[in-house]
Formats: sequence, C-alpha cells, structure tokens
Amino acid sequence: MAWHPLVLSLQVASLATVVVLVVGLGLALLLARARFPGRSVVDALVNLPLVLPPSVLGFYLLFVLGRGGPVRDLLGINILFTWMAAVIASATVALPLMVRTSKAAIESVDPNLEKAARTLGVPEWRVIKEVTVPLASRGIVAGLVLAFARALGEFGATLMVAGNIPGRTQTAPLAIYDLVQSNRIREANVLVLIMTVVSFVVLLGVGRWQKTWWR
Amino acid sequence: MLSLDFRKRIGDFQLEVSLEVGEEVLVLFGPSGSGKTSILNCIAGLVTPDEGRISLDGEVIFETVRGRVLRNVPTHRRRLGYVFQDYALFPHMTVAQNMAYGVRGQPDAQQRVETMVRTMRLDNLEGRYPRQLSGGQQQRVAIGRALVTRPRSLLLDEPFSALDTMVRDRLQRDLVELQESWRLPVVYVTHSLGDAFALGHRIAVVNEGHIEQLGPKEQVLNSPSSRAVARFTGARNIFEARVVQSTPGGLTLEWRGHRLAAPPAPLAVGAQTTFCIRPEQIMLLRGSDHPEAPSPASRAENAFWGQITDEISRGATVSLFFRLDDSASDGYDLEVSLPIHVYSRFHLDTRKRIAVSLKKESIRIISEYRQEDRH
Repeated sequence: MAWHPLVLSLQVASLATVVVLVVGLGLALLLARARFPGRSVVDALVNLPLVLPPSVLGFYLLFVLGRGGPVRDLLGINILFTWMAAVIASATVALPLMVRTSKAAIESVDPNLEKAARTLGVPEWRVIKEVTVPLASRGIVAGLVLAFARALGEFGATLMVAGNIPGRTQTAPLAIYDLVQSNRIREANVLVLIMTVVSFVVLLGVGRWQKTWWR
Repeated sequence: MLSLDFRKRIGDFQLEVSLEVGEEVLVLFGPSGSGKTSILNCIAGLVTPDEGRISLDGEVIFETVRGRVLRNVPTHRRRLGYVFQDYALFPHMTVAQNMAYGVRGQPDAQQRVETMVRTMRLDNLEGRYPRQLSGGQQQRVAIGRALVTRPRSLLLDEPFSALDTMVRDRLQRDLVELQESWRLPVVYVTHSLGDAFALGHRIAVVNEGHIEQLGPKEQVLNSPSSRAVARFTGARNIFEARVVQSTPGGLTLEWRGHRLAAPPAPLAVGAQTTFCIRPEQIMLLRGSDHPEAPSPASRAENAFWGQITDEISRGATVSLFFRLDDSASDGYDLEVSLPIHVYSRFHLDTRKRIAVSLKKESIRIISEYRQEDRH
C-alpha cells in the first residue's frame, strides 16, 4: 500500500486552502463592502468554477499555465504537470465556496459596528482586521473548511493540468481511479475509507468549534 | 465649538443645516425620518454632504468650493465621539476591551480606561461581554467608550430610546453631569420631547431636513414659530382664527364664533392667524369662576361650556376631549390634559358637562400663517 497519494492530497489541499484564504478573503471583502463598477461581473466570474465542468476549467488553466501563457512566458517557470499545478487547480475550484460563504458572513456584520470603530479613530485596515473579520470568522472558517474539503477531492481540473504521474502528481482521488481501473479494489477501499474519515472528522471538528464560539 | 453649514440631498428631501454648537447640549428634535441622524452622520464623516462647510474648534473638517470637495477629513481622524442608537458595542470584546478600543496602543490607555470604568459605574463588569449586560449598562459602556478617546464633540443618536424610564432618568442626569465636567459640544438626537427637555440647553426642531426652529428649550415650547413645531412639541390644540381687534394690550380673536382674548402680536385687524394652546394649560373652572357666576369680576376669561366626549388615561394625567356647546364640528374642539388627582376630585367622566378657560397668557400666537400645514 503506497501512502504517497494520500500525503500529496493533504499537502495539495492544505496549500490550496492557504491560497484560497488570501485570495478568497480579499475578494469576499471587496464584494461585500466595496462599491465599484463591474462588481456583479467580478462576482459572476468568481462563481464560474462552481458551475463549469472541471475539464473546461482545466482547459483554461492549461492556457494560463502552459506555453504562451503569462506564467510560463513572463515569469519563466514551468509548473504544468507538477504538484504546483495541482495546487492551483484545486484552489481555483475551491475558491467560489470560500468567497460565497465568507462574503455572506461579512455582509451580516452590522455596518454600525464598523462605523463605531471608525468614529473611535481606528483606520480602515484595522477596522477590517479587528472588527469585520473577527465577527465574520465563523463564516470565514466555514468557507475555508468547505474549500479544503473540495480541494481534497479535486479530480478533473487536476488531471488536466497536473496529470496523473504516480509518485509525483498522483493525488488520492486520481490514485483511487487508477486502482479501480486496474481492479485493485482492496487498496482502493482503504484509500476511500481514509478519505471519507478525514473529511468527516474535519467537518465534525468545525461543527463543534462553531458551537463553542463566543456567540 | 462645532459649526455646521451644509446641504445634502437625501431621498426626496434636501438636508439643510446651518448652526453652531458651543459648550452645550444641543438637541436635534423631530419626528422619525426628518433627517436628524443624517445630520449626525454628516458631522461624523459617515455621510458626505453635497456642499457646505463643517468645522470643529477652528479646524475645517469638511469643505466644498463650487460643488467640489476641497477637504473631507476621514471619520477616524475627526476625533468625535459617536454613540449609536443600538449602542454598537463590539460583541466579541469585553467591556474593558470595548472601552479601550479607541485608545489602544496609547501609553496611558489602561489608566484612562480604568478611570472611565469608574466614572461610568461599570466596576466589576470589565470582564463581561456586552450580551451579559443590561441595556443601561450597555449604554454606559457606549458613552464611556466614546469619551475615553477624549473627543472634541460628542454625538448621540437616540441613545436612551430603548431604556425603561428609571434607567433613562438616571442616564439623563449622568449625561448632564458629564457634559458639565467635560465642557464639550454635545449634539443629541431624539424624537422624545421628554429627553429633549431633560437634556437640552437649546433645541433645534428638525422637519423634513431643515431646522424649523432653533432656540432655548423654553422658547421652543412656549413660542413655536410654526405649526409643525407646535405639533411636534405636543401643543395639540392648534387653530386658525381671525383678528378682530388689535391693541398694545392684546388681540381679540374670532374663533369658531367666539371672541378670544389673546396676547399682543403685530397683526392687523382682519388678518388670519394661527394660535395654539397646550392641553395642560387649559384650566378647568369651578363654581365661582364659571362663565355664569353671579359676580362678573370673578368670571374667568375665555371661558367656555362644553362636554367631555372622550377620555384617555395616560398614567399621571388624563386627556379629555372637549366639545364646545355650540360646536359645529362632529368630533371634539379641545384636548385638555389634567393631573389624575384633579380628574378624580372633579368626579369627571365622559358626557359630563364642564367649563374650561383658555387663559389669555397661555394662548400662543404662531406668527407665520400658512394656508396649509406641511406634511
């Protein structure tokens, strides 16, 4: 039994979650609180990965990351068919879950609390950091957990941009697919069970944490 | 000193404010939706006026020139205290953390917070969260949190509207004391006449975005400058009348077929005017001062017979609705407010015939006369 796909999956999902936290929280704050032209367009674009087939998404990512794309030609790095491509694919697919959940949480924070903070002489970045984000933290954490779970199970887009190279880019979902294809059901069974338990424990843990939160 | 002179279009009315607030409590009094809170928000920089100028202690914090914003100091640099209607306490912070939030990082922060906790009588509650406090305690945290930052002016938006009477009375006294010791310009928004009179040095009556009347509170109560002000301040009995005689000693008005003696006013014979009389100023007449009393000298001025058509108990007082004997109207002509002990002593009840007097000095002539009242 090879543990590599499982370890890789956890690593990829964790890194993707970090990316999603930074990008997703920024987008959520922007969409929830800022008023700018084209806001609804940005909102729709962010949510697009939710409805697009993973293969279509993977196809776009091939263009962005591949030859002639900005990442390879401008930055001079090739990440196609490496574990980094798996991170980007997972993050892209997971992003809308984070943005939607945390945007709703931020919108539900009483704007008077932010105004009160401003009248107390607190600059905007501190208002966001010390009032808005802490008060929306439940929704933000919920978004992160959903994003992590989604990233952990990413299959389609990852296959397109990272491939299915055993020992290098083969994540657990891809490994399960391979194992079933080659009729190694017992080994597939173990991986399936572990994936299920990990996901379940994460969701359970967050549910408990939210109950003991200050509210 | 806070000086305001600005205009702002809000919904379907124009906010238009021009006034100065010294070291006093200025009450912005008016009905809901009249624009009071918007005025506070403009001062605090939470709403940007279309044009005008706002300055605080000589520093211009907002200014436009020919419609272009020249200066607009952001809210967090205006150094104003703002107490919100729902208190806006941070639910994820304790009392002490809430109070310290505006002075975080300042060297004497801890000492200032401790002093403010004592001033606000919040000792032993520092570790509690807002949801564990009563309404009055939350209110004191909100005021303390604003004052800790040593604001140049304090703005309060209906701060006592959700509190019960006893807590409210105590907080009103607290606020008066605080204002006296801090010598701050305080702008206090309320739609409660009681709050306005308990707290205000001056009252600005706000109606549909503009200041309808500005003056010392007694003046606003006793000499309303318009029907709107009379209505908001509870004058209740507001009528039209015609001047039939005008002398330096007073006016004689014709009102609903009766002659009324009224205080002097610069009005010509034949002019239409509005006058009002507060329901608690109407006197109930007994035996010797009845209009039909044997001695003419003892008869009360402006006395009328009539009937009580309806009554509403308001706790300490009773409102009686009084219909003149020869009234042409179907409803009532006057609203009379009596203390409950007077009401029971006279054995009053609906349908009873009584005599009342609209004493000359209680009648207020409203100088402006409008064909139609503004709504």
